[in-house]
Parts: sequence; C-alpha cells; structure tokens
Amino acid sequence: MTQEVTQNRITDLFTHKSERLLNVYFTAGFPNLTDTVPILSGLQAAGVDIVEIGMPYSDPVADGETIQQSNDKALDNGMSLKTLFAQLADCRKGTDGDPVTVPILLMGYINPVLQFGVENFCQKCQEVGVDGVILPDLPLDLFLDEYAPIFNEYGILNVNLITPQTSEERIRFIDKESDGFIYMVSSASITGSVKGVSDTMQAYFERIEAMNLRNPRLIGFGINNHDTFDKASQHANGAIVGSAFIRHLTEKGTSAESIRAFVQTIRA
Amino acid sequence: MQTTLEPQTSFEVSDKGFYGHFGGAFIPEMLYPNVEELRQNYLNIIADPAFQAEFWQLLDDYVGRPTPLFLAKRLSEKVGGTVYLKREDLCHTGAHKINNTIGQILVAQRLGKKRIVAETGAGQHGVATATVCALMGLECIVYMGSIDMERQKPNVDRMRMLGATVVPATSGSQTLKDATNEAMRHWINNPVDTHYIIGSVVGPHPYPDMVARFQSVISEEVKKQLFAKTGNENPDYVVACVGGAAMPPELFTITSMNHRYV
Repeated sequence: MTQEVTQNRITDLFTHKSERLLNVYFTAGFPNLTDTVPILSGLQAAGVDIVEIGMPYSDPVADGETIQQSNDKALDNGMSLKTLFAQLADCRKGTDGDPVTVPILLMGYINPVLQFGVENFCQKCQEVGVDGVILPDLPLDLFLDEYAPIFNEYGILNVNLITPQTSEERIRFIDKESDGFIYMVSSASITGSVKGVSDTMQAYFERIEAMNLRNPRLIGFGINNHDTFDKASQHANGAIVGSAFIRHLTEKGTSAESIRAFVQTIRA
Repeated sequence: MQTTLEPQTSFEVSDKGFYGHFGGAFIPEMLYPNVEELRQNYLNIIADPAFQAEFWQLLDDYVGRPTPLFLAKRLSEKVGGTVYLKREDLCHTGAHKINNTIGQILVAQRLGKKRIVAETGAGQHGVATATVCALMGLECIVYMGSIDMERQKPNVDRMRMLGATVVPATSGSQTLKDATNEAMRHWINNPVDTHYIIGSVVGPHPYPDMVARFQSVISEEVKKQLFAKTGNENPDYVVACVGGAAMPPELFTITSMNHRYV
C-alpha cells in the first residue's frame, strides 16, 4: 500500500509544489460526449496542476445550477462510467497526441460507483491512470469500514471535504484518515453559489491554516476568478475552480486556446 | 400491495443506520453536522416526558386522533374477507403526514431551529409541514417539482395560505426527487438555523427511523381498535399503497406490532 501511494501523482505533486496549485473541474462528456479527453489535454497544456473530472449524475445535491446542468447535458449525451473509462483508456499512453501526465481526480457521487461496483471502479481507475476520487456523499466512516482496503490496494486516493461547520475534532479525524489533500469547502454552500471571499470565509481560512494539518489543503466552491484564487492561495496550498470553468466552456468554447485563456485569467 | 405478518427483523435500524443492506446516511460532508446533531439527539428528545406529553396532546386535540377503524361491509363482501379501513384521511389536513410533521417540528424546536424546509410530491406533506409551521410560528419553505405544482395547484394554494413559501424545483424531472434535491441544497446553504422535515423515505439515517416512530401511532391504534372489535389485535393482511411517500415506514411498524415506539 505505502509503495502504491508514494507512486501516486497527487502525493508526488505535493512533494515538489506546495503553493498556488490550481485544480480545475469539468464534467465528463460536456458539452459534447467526446470532449472529455480534448479538455483534459487542454487543461494540461494550460499548466493546471490537477484535473478533476466530474462523473455526471442525475442528483448532484452538492452542486449548484451550472454543474447540475452540465451533468444533465452529459447524461443526455450518453456519458456513463463505462464510457468515461473507455475515453480515458489511452490518455496516459499518448497514442492520441501528447501523453497526459497531469494528476487526475474523478469527482462525483457514490450511487453510480456502487452500481459499477467499488472494486471494479478502483481497478478501472488504476488501469486508466486516475489518481484519486472525490465522493462528497460517501460517508468517511463507511469508507473506512468498507472501502479503504480496496482503494489502497489499487492506489486510489479518497479526498475528503471539510466545511466551516466541521468541528475541530472531526477535522483532526479527517486529517488523520486522509491522504493526498483536504478539500476545503469555502462556505456553507453548494458549488457556484457564492461571489467573492467574505470576512467570514477569510476567518475560516485562517482558522484552518492555524491548525497545521498534516495534509495540504485546496479551497473550492466560489473560486471563480483571479481575486478569489489569490485569496484562497494565501491561506491554503491552492484552489479548485469548477462552475466558472463550465460557464467558460459554454460561452467561449472548448478549444485549447480558450482553455489556456481561462487558466491565464485565474492565475494572471 | 400485501405484506404478511411473518416475523421480520430488517425494519429495525442498526446503530450505523442500516436496515440490512440498505439505509445509511449518504449525505455530503456539508450536512454531516446537521444530521449528526439530529442523530445524537432525536432519541433523547423523543423519550423526554415533556415531549411525549406535547406530542400526544397535539395528536389528540389538533390532529384529531384516534382516527376511526371502519368495517367496510360492502368491500368485505366483494373481496371475500373482513376489511377494515384505517381512516387516516380524517386527520387534520387530510392525511397521515401530519403525525410525522408534528413530531418533527417538536424535535426542531428542541434543537433550537428557527426555519423549516421540506420537499413535497403531491403536496400532502407540504401542507402538513406548512400547517405545523403555522401552528408553531416557524418560517416554512417547501420545494415542489414545477410539474407537480401544476398538477396539484390546490395544495400549492393551501400551503401559501398557511404562510409557506413554495419554491418550484425546476431541475431534472421537476418532480419529487428533484424537490428533495433542492431542499437538500437549501439545507446545505442554511445549515445552522434550519431543520429539514423530510416526509418521504429518502433521507439519511436517522430520518427513516424517526418518521417510522412518529407514524407508529397508526399501528398502535389499529391494534387496540381491532382488539376491541374482534378480540384479535393482529390483522391477517395489511394493504397500503406505496408511492414516493411515507407509507412504507408505517407498514414496517404495522408489521412489527409488538414494538411500541413513541
């Protein structure tokens, strides 16, 4: 297990970079079914540090309208876990352009993963080169009881969330049980629903920063431009952008140039 | 649907919130503190004598319990058996839903919550929730699929008359499932002062167990009434409709008639 984890691209990343990391989310199969790998390659070419690929689901309760709609569209396009794994099958090999070397996370909900079979899912993740998953509605206790050994066997990280309401005791527990990084949800909200970094958020960022957790932290939810990315990065190892990128893809298209322009405005 | 009175055990919830393979609390971490607060407190709150007194008094004086158990003679002749109807439709607001919403609003008050959010399908749970919110003076927000809002306009009007804000759920299939998602999202956005009164059997533990406890009043009454009428407290069959709503927990508690919950 230990050896697998040390070979993980995400843990590797944090050993040599700890500041201003940019993780960008997009929904697999959106806006068109076959856009997944080109967008992934575009994000790598634009220099993002981690790519988070959304596994579309009919009931994404932690997501706001923008990501909900991208999920619906992707499902309408016919996206499924099976299709997603097929699309990602060769991306690390580079048979279709430059090999993808950027760390990849899959983000989604536990229901489709249970339908697919947890072991089957982890095996496929390992095969295609997925480094970790974010499953907001997979309870940590259940993960530890039932699934942690399977994830470990295939070297797949399970990234856990904390929020402003998470107790200090639970944050310590989550920190102890996490590898990779901790996903800090910036405020009591669903994705895409806040604008700017408020004083309350700032205070929360500082409070968590002062806890000196063993895991690096990335801040997500409401990170949508250079200013919010900058403020988040001052108190964590970087930030996660999702809804803003989905909106950009819808408005400005999915070309490599469009993606590069988006990433540049965030990083500035 | 028929369910026989064969011994069952899987309706008893485990300490981790599972019913056999099913159950659990598959909620985003954002809702963990809320659900955990509820999980740690609901049994103590329900067991508190002051809660019990208020709950039972409201069921008697406000809901109008006990509801009659009626021998449907002509239906009995037609189907060839003895059929009794448990008249939950005679509860205040016209459905059994209010047994649960009375219980949950009392829990919410004891948790210090100031606002109530709920989902509704046909509107009965929404009406029952709006009613208890009006009774207790709590703000009420009900999510309802926009298609359901058109189909069940009288219930929408009734909720609004009771002072509730009815919000159309326009995502997905625009029906109960999506109303539930929107109510969950609302709760994520308002985690501290809001209690979510779930009326359907879709929520995380401890909701299914809590709803079943509040609805077990139905089976308790059936036992007593049936005994008075027939000398036998257990029916051979229990027939109920199963839709998206809260009927299954009652069925489970009816089939577990040996247990007195609330």
